[in-house]
Amino acid sequence: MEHLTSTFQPEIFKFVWAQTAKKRSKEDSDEADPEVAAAGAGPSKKSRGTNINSDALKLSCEYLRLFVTEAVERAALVAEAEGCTTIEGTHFERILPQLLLDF
Amino acid sequence: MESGAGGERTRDSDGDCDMEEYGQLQQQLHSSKMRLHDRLQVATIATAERTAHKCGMKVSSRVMSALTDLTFKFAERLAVDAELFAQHAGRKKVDTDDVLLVARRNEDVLASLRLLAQSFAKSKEKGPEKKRKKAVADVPDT
Repeated sequence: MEHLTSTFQPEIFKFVWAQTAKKRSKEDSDEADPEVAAAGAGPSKKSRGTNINSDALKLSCEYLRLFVTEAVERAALVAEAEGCTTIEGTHFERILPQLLLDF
Repeated sequence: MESGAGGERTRDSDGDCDMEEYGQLQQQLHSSKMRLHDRLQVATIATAERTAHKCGMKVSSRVMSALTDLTFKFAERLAVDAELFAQHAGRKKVDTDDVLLVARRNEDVLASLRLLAQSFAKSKEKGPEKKRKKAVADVPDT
């Protein structure tokens, strides 16, 4: 089941990195505001398209899967305490702050 | 007075031309983003239903879509952070160490991920060694 996410995980990452690369190229052309460009791009190395190691990809898949599993399990605890059999939005929003702090 | 009505854009400065292309690119990215979103939803539903079944619970559709949105944003943040860490180390390829660094917030999560990373490294070491051993074993046999 882990490899369910691994089939399209690289595409999400590539999508994000395409966006960041585009932002950087736009900021570099915007030389009127060097402060903004420096703050946005960080160390000014124009890296065209980042790649990822396959093991790192599997690891990040596992990380995302843990995130989803943890969210569902915590919400299930809250729903169980209330005596419901379906996880509703109210249960979910109660676990959200701690979940986001933990991840 | 010159007024650009609708589609007319005066190309006196390069800035305007780039803005149009930028808008088109944004539209393309948006549609591909929707596709990725849907595919993530399939995987999220599978994982969530499995976990809920273990607890003997069901998940409502609203919660599912909220969870998918959250997971997508989480994945985006993960990608950005991992890229920054790799860049900071002077590398172009994101490594397992970069992913482990992103996951440093929770120690238990970090520990289990580290175990997984070590198991990957071990299986990689064993893989080429097994091939070498097989080659050595074949030669005296034949």
